[in-house]
Amino acid sequence: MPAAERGAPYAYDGLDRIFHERARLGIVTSLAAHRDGLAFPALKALCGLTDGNLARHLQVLGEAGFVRIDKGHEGNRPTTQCRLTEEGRARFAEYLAVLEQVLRKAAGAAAQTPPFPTRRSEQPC
Amino acid sequence: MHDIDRALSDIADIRAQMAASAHFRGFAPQAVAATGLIALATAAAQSLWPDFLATDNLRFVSVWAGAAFLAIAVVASEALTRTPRLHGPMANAMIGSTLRLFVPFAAAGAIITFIICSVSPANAWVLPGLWQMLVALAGFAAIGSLPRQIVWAAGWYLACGTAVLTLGAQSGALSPWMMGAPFAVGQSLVALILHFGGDADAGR
Repeated sequence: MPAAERGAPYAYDGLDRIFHERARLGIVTSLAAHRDGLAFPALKALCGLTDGNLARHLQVLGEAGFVRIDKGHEGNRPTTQCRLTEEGRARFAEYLAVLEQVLRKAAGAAAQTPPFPTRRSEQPC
Repeated sequence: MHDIDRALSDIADIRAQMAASAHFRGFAPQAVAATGLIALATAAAQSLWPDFLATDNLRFVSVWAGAAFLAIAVVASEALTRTPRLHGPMANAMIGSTLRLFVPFAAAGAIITFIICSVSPANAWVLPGLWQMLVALAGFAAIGSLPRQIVWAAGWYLACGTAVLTLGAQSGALSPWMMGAPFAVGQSLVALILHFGGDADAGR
């Protein structure tokens, strides 16, 4: 049963820890906009990551079944193509929906909270 | 507040990019096949009762415009129920992306039809070929969001549009089968592609 239905509306079960990491969020967002995926060097440039970091995060995403990595050859040059799986795409959409819900609640709370009185406004005129 | 608004706007942008690059699965193969049957039935009815359904060019075009509205209603109503089920939280973004793709072609078809029917109904013979070419262009434009094999259906409509325009230019007359045959075969082909291609893409 989702946390919201258990009476815990701020539990945010849908905020998947795998996506909720800055580098992986960048990787998944980049891949989400490219149906055919991206080559490893292009993804590295878009996310501003080193080879090692990108490989490590792709491994985490791959083990979760969210990203598929295809290794091949273009002429004599080895190529690595990374793409989001259907499962990864669906789970990332759910993650975005929950993140949006969090932000909307935060916006609502900010609108309801009265501004902190400043030292000057506390003083009688 | 400003940061929250910007974050919400970023999420909307990411969702729109995802929708533009994702495969739209809202079109039901059965509904698309039904539109082929609508085309077949309309052509058969016009052939059987030409004195009632194809008395002149305007009547001919009006009957096909009615068939087009019916076909769009069938596909759209099915898509509106399927899309939330298949795309979950992405449903609205997917519907928006698909509308942005197809509405300009539909609008162009409606404008061309209106101008020809109101200014020069004698030249209505160009309409079946032009409609098929617009459907072909919509199909080519949708390669990114429908199964890739949709290119074959788009090619079929382009070939039919070319042939129908040539035939129309030679005879200057409208025939029910200028519409019935291309759309019955074309929509059946699209339905098959959605059925088999959609399954293959979803499994990727």
